[in-house]
Amino acid sequence: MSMSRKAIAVLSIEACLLLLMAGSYIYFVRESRDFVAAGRPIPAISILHNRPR
Amino acid sequence: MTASSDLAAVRAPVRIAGFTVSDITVIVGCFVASRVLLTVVGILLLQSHPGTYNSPMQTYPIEASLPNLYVRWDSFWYLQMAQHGYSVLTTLLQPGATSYAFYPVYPALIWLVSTISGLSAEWSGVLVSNTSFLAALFVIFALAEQWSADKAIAGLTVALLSFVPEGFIFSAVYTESIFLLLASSAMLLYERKQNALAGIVAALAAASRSNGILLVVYFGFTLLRERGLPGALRFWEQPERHLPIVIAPLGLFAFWWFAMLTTGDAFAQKSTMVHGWHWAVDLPWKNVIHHLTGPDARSSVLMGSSLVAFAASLTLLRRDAWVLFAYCLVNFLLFWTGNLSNSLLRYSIVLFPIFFGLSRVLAHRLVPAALVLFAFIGLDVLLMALWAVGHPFVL
Repeated sequence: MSMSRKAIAVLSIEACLLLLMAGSYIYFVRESRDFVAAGRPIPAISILHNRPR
Repeated sequence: MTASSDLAAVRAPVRIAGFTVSDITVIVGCFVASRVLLTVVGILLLQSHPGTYNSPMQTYPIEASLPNLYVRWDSFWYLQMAQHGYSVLTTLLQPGATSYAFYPVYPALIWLVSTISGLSAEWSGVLVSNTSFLAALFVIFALAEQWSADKAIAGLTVALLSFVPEGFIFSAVYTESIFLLLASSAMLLYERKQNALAGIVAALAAASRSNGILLVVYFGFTLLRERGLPGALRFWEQPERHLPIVIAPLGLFAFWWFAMLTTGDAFAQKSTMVHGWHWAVDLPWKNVIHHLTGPDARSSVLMGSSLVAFAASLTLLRRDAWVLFAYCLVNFLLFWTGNLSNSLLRYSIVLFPIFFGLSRVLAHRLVPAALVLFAFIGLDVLLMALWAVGHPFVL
C-alpha cells in the first residue's frame, strides 16, 4: 500500500524538525560556555522595579 | 417530527462551547469561591498583622491590598522580565542569580497584556494568572468528563484543584496557572486528534516551565495505549499522531537558542540555577531521603507533601488511567532529582491528573469527599496566611 501524499509531507516535516533539533543540541553542547562562571552577570544593588499602581 | 423527538428537543440542555449551564455554574462557582476566600483571608490577615518578611528581590513593603497580595518572591523576577526583558543583572544578595532562570512565556504574556491594556505589570500578571486558571478549570472539567463520562467526577476534580493547598499560587504572579492551562489544553487537543495544535500548545508549555517538555511522555504513552507497542513504533502509519512529540520540544529549543544568542550559553537557565540558587542534581531517592531525614523541618514537610501528592497519584494506577500515572511519575522523578525542596508542593499541584484520580475514588462517597475538601480548604487557608505575610515557607 503506498503512503498518501499527506503522510509523506508529515513525515518530511518530522524528519526536518528532528534533524534541526539534533543539530542544534550538538552545537549547543560544543559551543556553550557557562555564562555565570565566565563573569557575564553584572552585579546590581537591586533589580529595578516600580511600586504597583 | 414526532412527539417523542419534540420532547427530546425540549429536554436537551442548553450548551455553551460544549458546557451546560450547570457545568459552568460548578466551574465558575469553584473559581470564585476559592479566589474570594483566599483573597479575603490574605487581606484581613495583613490588616491585623503587617508582613514582616522580605524577598531579596522586593523593593517595596508588603501591603494589605491588591495586586500586592499576589506579588511575592519569584513574582519580582517575572515582573522585572515583563518590564525590562531578559538581563544578566544579578543582585549582590544572590550572586549569580539572573532572570535566565525563568522561562519566557509567562513574562511575555504579562508584557503583552500590560502593553495592550495599559495596566501595570502587577495587575497584568494577576489578570493573566486568574484568567488562565479559570480557562484551565474549564479544560480540566472537559478532560475529566471525557476520561470518566461522569460529571460528578469532573466537578469534584475542579473543586479539589480550586482549593488544593497552595492553590493560591494560581492567582499569584507565578507560572503555575498558565502552565496548567497549556498542559491540560495540549492533552485535550491530543485526545481530540488535533495533533498539530496539541504539539504547538505543548511547545508553549515547554517554554513556560522546565517540566513542560514531559508532555511528550503523555503523548508517547497515549500512542502506546492506542496502538500497542508494534503499532506505536510504526511511525510511518498515521505519522500525524507522532507530530506533537516532535513539535513539543521546539519551545525548549527556542529558549536555548535565545540564551545561546544573548549569553553564549544555551544552558544559561541551568548555569544561573547552579550559581545563583545552588541547584544540583542527584538521584531522586537520595534527595527524598536527604530532605525527609535532614535537620531542616521545612524541607521535611515539603518533601512529605510531595510524597503525599505522589501517593494520591497512585489512584491513577488503573487499566484506563495508567498513562496519566506515568505522566505524573516522570514529573515527580524530575522534581526529586533537584536538590532544592523550596517549591515541591507548588510543583506537585500542577499535576492535575492526581485530582482526577482522587475524584474517581471520592466522587460518590459524600463523607470522605467532604472531609478531603475541608482538609484542602484548611491547609490552603493556612498556607495563604504564610504567603500573605511573606513567610519563606511558601515561595
